[in-house]
Amino acid sequence: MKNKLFPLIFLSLIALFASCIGKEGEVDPSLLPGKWVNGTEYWRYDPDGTGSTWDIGDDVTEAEGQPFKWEFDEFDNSLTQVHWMEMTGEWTIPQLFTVTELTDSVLTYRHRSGTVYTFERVR
Amino acid sequence: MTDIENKETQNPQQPKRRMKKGWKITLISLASLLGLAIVLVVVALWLILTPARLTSIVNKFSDKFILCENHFEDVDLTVFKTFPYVGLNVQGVTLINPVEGAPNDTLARVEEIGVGFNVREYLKHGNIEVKKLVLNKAKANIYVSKEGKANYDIFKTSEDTTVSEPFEMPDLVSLKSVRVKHFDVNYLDKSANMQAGVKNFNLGVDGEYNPGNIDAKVDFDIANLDFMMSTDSSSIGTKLDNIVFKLDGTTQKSKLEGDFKLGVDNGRIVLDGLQYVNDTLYADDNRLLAIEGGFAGDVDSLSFILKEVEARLKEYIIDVDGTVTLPKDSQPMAMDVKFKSNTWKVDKLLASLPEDFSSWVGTMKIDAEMEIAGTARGEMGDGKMPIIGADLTIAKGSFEDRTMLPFKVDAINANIHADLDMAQGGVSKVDVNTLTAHARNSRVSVSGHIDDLLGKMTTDAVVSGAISLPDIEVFMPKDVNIDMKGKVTPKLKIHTNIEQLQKADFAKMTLSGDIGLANLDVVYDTIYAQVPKGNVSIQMPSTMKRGLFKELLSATISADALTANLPNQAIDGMLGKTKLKAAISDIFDSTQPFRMVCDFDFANLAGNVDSLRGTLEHPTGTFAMIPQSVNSDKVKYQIDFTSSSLHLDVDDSTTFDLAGLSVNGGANYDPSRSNTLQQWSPNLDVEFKRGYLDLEQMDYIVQIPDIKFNYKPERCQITNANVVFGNSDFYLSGAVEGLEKWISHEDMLKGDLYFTSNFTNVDDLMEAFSGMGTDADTLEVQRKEDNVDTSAHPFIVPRDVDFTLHTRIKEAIAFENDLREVAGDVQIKDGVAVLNQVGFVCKAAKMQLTALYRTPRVNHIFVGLDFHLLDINIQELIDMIPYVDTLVPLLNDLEGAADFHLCAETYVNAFYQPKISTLRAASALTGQNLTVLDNKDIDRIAKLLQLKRWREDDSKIHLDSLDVAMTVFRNNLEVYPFLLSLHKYQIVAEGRHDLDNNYDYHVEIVESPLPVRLAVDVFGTMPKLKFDISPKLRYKNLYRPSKRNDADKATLRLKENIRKALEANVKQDTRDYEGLEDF
Repeated sequence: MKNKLFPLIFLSLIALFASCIGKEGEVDPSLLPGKWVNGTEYWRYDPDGTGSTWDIGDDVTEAEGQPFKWEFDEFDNSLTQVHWMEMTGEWTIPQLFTVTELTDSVLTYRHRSGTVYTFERVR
Repeated sequence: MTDIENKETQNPQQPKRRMKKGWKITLISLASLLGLAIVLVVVALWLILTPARLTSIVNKFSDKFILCENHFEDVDLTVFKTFPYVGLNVQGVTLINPVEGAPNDTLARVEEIGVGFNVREYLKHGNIEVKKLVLNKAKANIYVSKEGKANYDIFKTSEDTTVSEPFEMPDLVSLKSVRVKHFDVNYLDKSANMQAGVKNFNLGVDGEYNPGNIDAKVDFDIANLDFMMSTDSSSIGTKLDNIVFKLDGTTQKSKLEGDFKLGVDNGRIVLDGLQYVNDTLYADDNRLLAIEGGFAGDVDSLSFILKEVEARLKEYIIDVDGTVTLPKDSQPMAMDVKFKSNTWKVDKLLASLPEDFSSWVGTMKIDAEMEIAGTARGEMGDGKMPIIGADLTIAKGSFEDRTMLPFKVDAINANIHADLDMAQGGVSKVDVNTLTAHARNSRVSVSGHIDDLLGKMTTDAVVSGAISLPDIEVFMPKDVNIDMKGKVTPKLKIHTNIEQLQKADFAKMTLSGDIGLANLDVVYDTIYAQVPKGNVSIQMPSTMKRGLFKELLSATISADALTANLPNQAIDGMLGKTKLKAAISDIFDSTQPFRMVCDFDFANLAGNVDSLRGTLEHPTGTFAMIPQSVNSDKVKYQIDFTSSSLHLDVDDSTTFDLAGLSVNGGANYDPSRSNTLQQWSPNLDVEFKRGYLDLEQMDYIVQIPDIKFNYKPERCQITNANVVFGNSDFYLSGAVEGLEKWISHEDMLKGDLYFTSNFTNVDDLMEAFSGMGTDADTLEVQRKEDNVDTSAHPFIVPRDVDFTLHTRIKEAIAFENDLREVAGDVQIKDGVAVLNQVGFVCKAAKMQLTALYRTPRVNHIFVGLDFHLLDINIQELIDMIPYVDTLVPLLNDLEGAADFHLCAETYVNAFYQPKISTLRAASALTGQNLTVLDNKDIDRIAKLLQLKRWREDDSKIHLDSLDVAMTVFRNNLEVYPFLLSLHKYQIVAEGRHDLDNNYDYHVEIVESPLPVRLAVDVFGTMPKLKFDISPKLRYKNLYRPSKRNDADKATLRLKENIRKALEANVKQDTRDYEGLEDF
C-alpha cells in the first residue's frame, strides 16, 4: 500500500510546488510598458523591448535619457535590463531583477542583492 | 542795276571760249572805232571842210564801213580840245543795230570824240599823225545772243583772203595821250551767260611809243563794275565800287619796269554762291583792296621782280618782295619771294572769312594778334610747288567754347615756324618754338616739332606748366568718377601722330617726363589719396610689364608722405616717405576698368581695415589691382609684400606684433559675399617671425617664434608654426579648411594638424579654446537656461569645428596629472572632443586613453573613457586616479604591476561633478605575482577562513594571479566572481557595494589543503564592516569546468565578455610603446 501511495504523494507534492511557483508567474508583463517614477528617477519601458532612464534630480531630461533594453521572463518573473554604453558601443551593463508586483499603477522588483525598488506609473 | 548776285546760270556753253571771243569782239570794235575816228580826221583834214560839210561827208562815208544804222551829228575841226594838236571833234555819234533779244537797239552813243593830229608832221612829211584821242560821255550796249550773234558786229569784213601780216601799230598813229571820260558799258552775252556793267569809266593814258620803247603812264578809274557769269557747275558775280588803277612804267626792248597801284574801295564777290566779301568785311571802313608797288622784269625771260609790293585787303596787309618767273616752254614757273604781314586780329579775320572757311569755328570764340612772315621759294608745276617757310607769331590770344571747356583759355602766345612743301612727296613741318596759355588757375607751355604736317603729323612736343587739378577734371572720361584738388607741375615729352590722336590710340604714343605734385587730394571712385608734396615720373608706353593687363603707362611716384583710402574706405592708410612705381591700364578706354600694378617702398604705413588698425615698418613689394570688368565690383588683387615689423590692433581686444613679415599671393574681392574673409577670398603665402599675440580673453601672450603658412580659399596649409602658449610650446603643421564658410556659419571649420610639443598644459589649451565657435551670447543664454553658477567655467567643446590633432608630446599636464610621451589623435568635432587611442607613459604605466568629451549643455557634459593601463604600478595608479580604489577597494591592499582596463561614462555638471544617475562603467584588472599588504580586514577574513601559513616567510600574501571584472550602474558596483590563488589556497570572491560604502561581499575557499571548505560574508558600511561565516557555499564548482552548472557558465561568460570587450581596444602599439622617439 505504501508503495502505491508514494507516487501519488510525490506527484501531489510536485503539483503543490508547481502551484507555488505559479504564483510568482502571475505578473502580467503587458503592464510593464509605460513610464514609471521613483522620486526623481524615471524609467520608461517601451513595448519593443527598449527603454530609457533619467533622473531629473541630476538635471537630466527625458530627451537626454540613457537607453537600455529589457527582457521579462515569465517563467521566474525575472527582468533583465542591459544598459548601453557609448564608449563600448554595445549593450554592456547587465542588471537582473525579480518582479514581485506589477499592476496598472505599481511596479516592484528586487535585485538579487535583495534591494527592493518600487515605482509608480506616471499618468 | 542788274542784280548780278542772284542771276542764275542758263547757258551750257563753255565760258572760257565765249569770254575770249567776247573780248576779241570788244577789242575789234574798239579798234574799229579808233580806225573810224582816224579816217574821219584824215578825211576832214584832207577835205578841210566846214562842220556841216564834214558831217555830211562822214555820215555818207561811214556807211561804207558801218553796216548798222549810224549817225554823226556834228563833225568839226578843233585846236582847243586837242591842244597842242589840231583835232577833229565829233559830237553825237550814234550806232543803232537792233538784234532780237537785245535789251536796247542802240549799240553805242558817244557824245563827243576828239582826235588830235600832228600838223607839223603833216606839213613836213605829209603824214597824218594821231597824237591824242578823247572820248567823252560814251555809252555802249553790247549784246550777244544765245546763238552768238553780236550787235557790235557792224563793220564790213574784208573780202581779201590773203593771210594778213601781224598787227603793228601804224606810223600814222603815234598816240601820246588818250582820254576816256564818263564811259558806261552794258554788256550782255547770253551765249556765255555773262553779264557786265561798267559805270563812269575814265581812262587817261600819257606816254611815248616808239618801236622797242614804251614810256607810259596809265590811270583809269571805274565808279562801278558789275560782272556776273555762270555755268552749270559754277558761278561768279562781282560788284566793285570805285576801282582805281595807276601804272607808270617804261619798256626798253624786252625790259620793263615801273610802279603800279590798284585800289577798290569796296565791293562784293560771290563765287558759287559763297560771299567772299561778307558783311563783316564789307562793313569795314578800310578799302576793300589796295595793291601798290614797283616792278621790273624781262618779257623775253618772263622773269619779274616785285619791289616792295604791298597788298592790303581791308586792314590785312601783306608786303611782298621777290622774283617771279613765269613759265615758258619747258621752263616752269618759279618764285623767290618774301612776304610779311602786319598784325592781324584773328577774331576779325575769322569773322571776315567766307562762311565755308570759317564754319569750323562754330561756337568757339577765338581771338589773338597774329603776324606771319616768310618766304616762298621754288618752282611750281609738274607736281612741284614752292617751299613756303613761314613764321607765325600769336600774342594776346584767347579761346572760349563752353561746349568744350567750362572755362576760358587766355594769354595764348605762340611763336611757330612752318616749312610747307606742298609738292608731291614733299614733307611739311612745323616747329612750335613756344606756345603758352593760361586758364583759370593753370598755365601750360608747349614747344615741339610736327613733322609731315600734311600727312602723319608726327609730333614731338614738350608740355610743361602748372595745373590746378580741378581745372582738368573736365578732361577725364565721364564714367571715371574722380574728384581732384591740388596742383601739378608737369614737364612731359610727347611723341605721337594724328592717327594716334584721332583713334585715341594712347598705347602707341610716347610720353615721358615728370609731374610735380603739391597739396594733392584725389578721390577716384572709392579710392582716396592725399600727397602734400611729391613727384610723378611718367613713362608711356609703360616700362613696367607684368603681363597682368595691357599697361598704358607707368609712373614712378615719390612723396614725403601719402594718405590713402582704398575701396569703400575699407582700407585707410598713411604712408611715410614713399617710393612707388605703378603701371595703369588705358584710362581713356571706357570699355576697360581702371587697373594698376605697382612696386612700392614705404618708410612706414599706418592704416585701418574695418576694425583692424595697424602699422607697418618699411613695407616693400608689389601690389596689383585688376577689376574684372567695368560693370563688375569684383576685383583681383595680387601682392608680394615684406615688412620689417607689424603692429596690429583688433577692436581694442587683441594686439599682434611681429617681425620679418612676408606675404605673397593675392585676393579676389567680391563685395557680394557674406563675410570679410569671403569677400576678399585671399590666396596668400605668409611667413613671419617673433610674433606676439595678446588676446583679451587670455592671461598670457601667445608667442609665435616663427610661422609659415599658405592661405587659400577654404584651406590654410600650415607648413610650420612654432607657438609658445603660456608655459606650453608646440609645433604645428597641417591644414585647416573652410574658414570662410565657418565664419558665415555655413559649414564646419575642419583641421588636420600635427601637434608636436616638448611640454603642453592641456588645461590652458582647453581654457583657451573653450566655447570656440559658439558666440558668447549663445553661451550666456545656455548658462541661464541651465541655472549654471557664474563661478563654473566648464570647457565647452568648440562647435562647428572638425579638428584632428595628431599629437606627439614629451610632457603634459592634464587635469593636474603629469603625463609623458603622449602620442595619439585628438579629434574635436562639433561639440565633441575625442582623445582617440592616445598612448602615453605616466608614472604608473603604459597608458592608452580614448576619451570622449561632449558638451550638449553647459550643465550636462558627457565624459567617457576607454582607459587601459598596462603593466601598472597599482599604488601609483591609485595616486593618479584616486577614484579607482573606490571602484576596487582591494587595490588599496595590493602591491605590484597589473593591467587595468576601464570603460566608464557619465554626465557631469558645470562643476565637473558626476551625475551619478548617468554613471555607467565596466572594468577589468588582471595581474600576476601580486603582494597583499598588511590589512586587518584581510587578516580577519583569513582567520575566519582558517587559512594557515599563507603569509609565508616575509609575512606578505602573494597572489599568484588576479582576474577581476566589474560593472558600475549608477552608484552600484558589482564585482563578478574572481579567483585568488594564494599559495596552496584558491579563493573565489564576489559582491557589490555602492558609492555610499555599503558592502555586500562573499569570499569562499574553493581549494585548500584542509578538508573544510568555508565562506565568509563581508557586509556593512565602511569602515565598520561585519564578517560572518557564510551559511552557504556558492562557487565550489565555478572553477571546476567539469562540474559547472548553467549559472556558473553564464557568470563566467559574462565576465569573460566584459574583459574581452575592454581589452579589445588595446592597440598593439600601446603594448609595445616605449615612449616617443626624439623630436
